[in-house]
Amino acid sequence: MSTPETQSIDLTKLSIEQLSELVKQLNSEIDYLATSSAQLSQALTKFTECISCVKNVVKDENNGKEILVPLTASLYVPGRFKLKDNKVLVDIGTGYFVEKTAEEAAVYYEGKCEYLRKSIGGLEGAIDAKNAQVRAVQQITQEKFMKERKTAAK
Amino acid sequence: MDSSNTNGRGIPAAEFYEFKELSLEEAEKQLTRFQEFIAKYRFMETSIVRRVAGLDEKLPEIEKTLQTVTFLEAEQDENLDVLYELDDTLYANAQVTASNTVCLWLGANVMLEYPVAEAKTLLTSKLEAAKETLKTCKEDLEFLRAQITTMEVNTARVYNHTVELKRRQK
Repeated sequence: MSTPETQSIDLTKLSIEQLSELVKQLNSEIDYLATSSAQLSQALTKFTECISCVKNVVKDENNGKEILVPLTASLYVPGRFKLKDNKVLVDIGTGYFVEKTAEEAAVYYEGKCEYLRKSIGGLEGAIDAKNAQVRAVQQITQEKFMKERKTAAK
Repeated sequence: MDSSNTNGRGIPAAEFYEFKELSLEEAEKQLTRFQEFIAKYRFMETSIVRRVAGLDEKLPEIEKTLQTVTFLEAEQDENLDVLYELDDTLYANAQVTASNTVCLWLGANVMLEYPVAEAKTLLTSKLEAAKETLKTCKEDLEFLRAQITTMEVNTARVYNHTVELKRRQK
């Protein structure tokens, strides 16, 4: 990963106002990364749910069982579960739907979960790096502040 | 300016403040009063904007449900093969048994079974009510924006007057 811009500027050369600006900027970046990380975790939970759905529901023994079929978010109709060639329809994004068997669908969702876990890990690494930067900037701000107080006291 | 003091939903109309001469204290008092009004109007504006957003979301949902119920009414005696949502990106097959009742989710963990015709009437009335509320909310929003502008104009005029007063005092 390329070195973040802040480290190519010598922190000790910046004034206290500039340093506090920098801290604000870093904190807002951390907030953004934290929100993204939370969203990815949400998506991860949903896909994990899908895996258990596929494994538990799409089975031959459930064929013909009575269910309430949701036709819209507020409309349900009585019906029976029907398994057509062990196939389910998976929404893979951008308006594309693919028919898969239960096993294929489980594999697909596993792959998505893996990808999400990696991305979340990457984000957490970036958040840690930014936190370290914030601490470094705050330390330098402290040192400058102490120096200025000493020169003002003289 | 409207002669009515409030609009249909009880929002007070903003008066245009006329004055010839104003002392500094009087002006300061009026300015605080205007600021209060503006704050109250803005608060009402935010809550109405939120309501409009909620309605905008629900309206297409109700329309879709109504359409589906109408379709079911037409196919009442047939078993239909459907693809239904099992999870967010997962759809499975099912067969809808021919029936003359549907179940409507009314929210708050309540679901009721209705005969198809009654469900259609209920949904149509819900749709009408939602459209009506949306219309009145949009009218309220227009009205509020006009009142906020009036108050801001008042503030500007009184403020300019205080500037004039201070200039004269020098």
